[in-house]
Amino acid sequence: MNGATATVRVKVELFGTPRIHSGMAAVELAIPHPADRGRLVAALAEQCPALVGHGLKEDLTDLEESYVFNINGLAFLGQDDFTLADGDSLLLLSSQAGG
Amino acid sequence: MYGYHGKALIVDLTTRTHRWDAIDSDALRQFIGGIGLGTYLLYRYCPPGADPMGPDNPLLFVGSPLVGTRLTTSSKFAVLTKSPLTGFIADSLSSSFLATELKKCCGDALVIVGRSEGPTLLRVEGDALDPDRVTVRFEDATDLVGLGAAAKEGAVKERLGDRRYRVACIGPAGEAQVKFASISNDGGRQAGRCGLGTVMGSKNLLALAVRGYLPVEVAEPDEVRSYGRDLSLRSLGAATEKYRNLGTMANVAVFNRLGTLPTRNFRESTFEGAEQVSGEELHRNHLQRNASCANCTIGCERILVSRGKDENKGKGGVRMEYESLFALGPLCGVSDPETVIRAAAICDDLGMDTISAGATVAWAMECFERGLLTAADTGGVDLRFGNGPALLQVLEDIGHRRGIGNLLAEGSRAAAANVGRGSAAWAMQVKGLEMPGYEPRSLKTMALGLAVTPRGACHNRSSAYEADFSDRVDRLSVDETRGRIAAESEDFEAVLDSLIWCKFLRKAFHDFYEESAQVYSMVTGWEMTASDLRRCGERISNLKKLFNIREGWSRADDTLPPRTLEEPLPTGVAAGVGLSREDLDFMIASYYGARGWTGDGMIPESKLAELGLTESAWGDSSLPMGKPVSDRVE
Repeated sequence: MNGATATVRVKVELFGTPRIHSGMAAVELAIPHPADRGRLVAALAEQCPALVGHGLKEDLTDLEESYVFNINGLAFLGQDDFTLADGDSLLLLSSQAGG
Repeated sequence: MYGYHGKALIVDLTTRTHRWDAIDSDALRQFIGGIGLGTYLLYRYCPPGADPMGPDNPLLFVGSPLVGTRLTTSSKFAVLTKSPLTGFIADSLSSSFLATELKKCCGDALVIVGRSEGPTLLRVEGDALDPDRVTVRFEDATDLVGLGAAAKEGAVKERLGDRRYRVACIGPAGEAQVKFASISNDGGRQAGRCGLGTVMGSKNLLALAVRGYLPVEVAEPDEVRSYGRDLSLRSLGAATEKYRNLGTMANVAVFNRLGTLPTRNFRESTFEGAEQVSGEELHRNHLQRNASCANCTIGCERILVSRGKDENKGKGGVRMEYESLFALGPLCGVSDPETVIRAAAICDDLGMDTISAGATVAWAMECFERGLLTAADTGGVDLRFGNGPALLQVLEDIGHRRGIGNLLAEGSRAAAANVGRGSAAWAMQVKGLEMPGYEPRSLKTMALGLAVTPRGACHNRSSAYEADFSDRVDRLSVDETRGRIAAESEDFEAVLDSLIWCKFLRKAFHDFYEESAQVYSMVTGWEMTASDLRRCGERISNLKKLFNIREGWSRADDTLPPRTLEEPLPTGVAAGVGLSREDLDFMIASYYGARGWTGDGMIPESKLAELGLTESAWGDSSLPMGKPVSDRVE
């Protein structure tokens, strides 16, 4: 990522219902800097409209309450905002753990 | 009395007698129902040191105050005994119509003791004109011997000529006393873990059929109905979406990506064939229909069928959920969905716990690859990881105790003790119970839960993994908070399993303890607060532990298999991550501290007194605990 005008390239991996509804296992996104939660959700909705109502809130402000992001397969992201870096991989998961 | 009957039906298979024993209302309040009340009754009816396979070991079917209320997901019952697999407490839940019929027929619990001389169908029928009267028949069941679980249930209903009977039965594995045999009811639902079907088989009890007329009354019916409508609506919302859409099969792809999918007997935590057996793929290619338990609005069940070209194509339909999928797939290195579906169907038909079956076969596969078992031992079967036909063959052998199956039917701990030569190091069990599909090295809070939970390695009695799958903790490291988290998760599950709510409903509550206490009061008419209910959870957790202590538990039993403590994970996002004995011991110490136990995990008298668990609080512990109110002999 170079300078204020650059975009951040991230990958969003889809699991469960989002994958079923979108028919895709992953989406590549270019997000304007700074790549925060709001811009990520907006970019995801634009690239993959089928996720609206199936992971993304209808008003595109955030994830639906039963979903959560994990970054790079390691940390789960809570409600706090975050900033993504080039090459990050986001996992869009159900927040209902276990079974 | 509302919500309860205040009595248990005691049936002795040896003397062919039955009686009603009263259950004290204080015990009902303190232990609620389900697993909690069952633990209380097990403690009282199981003689200390009883042989799990002996006639003295009681087999208990226990209802709850919510059964019969039609509240969503409440048609559940608990089955308890002393486990032949672990020697400690065995508790399992199952669901559907049998739950209601048990409550209408047998009161708050059915306690079966003794042993029949020959194969027996225990038939208990109430009296429509005198609901307190039951007729108990001990019928010859020789004609049922050898039938699969589903066929046996059908044959019992056919014989009785009344499909309103509800039936619990064992399959051939229970008859053969495979140590992880299950009890099947309502078309293939299983009380699966810990060898409950083994104990039923040891009693020569092939099937139980019940039909009753006891009224199920609640204190505030209008309030219960109103609350029930609201809860049902919530159960259809975001809080259960995963379970309604893909069911728990959704875990496979996620766990694989997170490096928490146990693969090839826990040698790895990622599986190259995970996508092929993922919930998404099975949903796309093998889903026949969705299904649900009685009185459930969630409907998590996914019925899968074979789409192959063989004779099984389109046949039957088997319930598939994550634990069966992981244990019969990645854990055995099998990526062919047709094989996994067939393997689950075999386990259900034979009446075997899929987790213990898969894990024990995975142990054997590793022994085979290391040369500890040979083709001479396996009857020529090339028992390597990934060999689907070998998996199917050996499952059949286990269920009938044929060849190598006779060794594996004892479970991985006992089989490893028999084979020796270091193979216990990769017998993936805790207290004798095979581990579920949660990799402890990359789920550190769950590692603690698996190590300390009384029934052995279990994801249902400890939901400590919820913290790991959140931003509350770093799942790859340990800290002093894990003990409190694990203890609270056990207490939460204890309440959930005692009321009994479905686990998949847990996120639909605004405030679980507050709402559940209100519902309990509406149903029973007895005051219960959220704080009281929390204390019930703690009491039940402590009583489970107390039972285990009585049966010989020691600090050494709270541990994990050597592999998890000695080998770092080799693949995935958690590659290089391990779990040292020191870190596990540190977490266990934090858990004992959070529980108020001693450093070696014993429960001090002060804690027992605080929870009302001293003998003086209970009175005489000799059997039976209550006074018989009926003593008819049929």
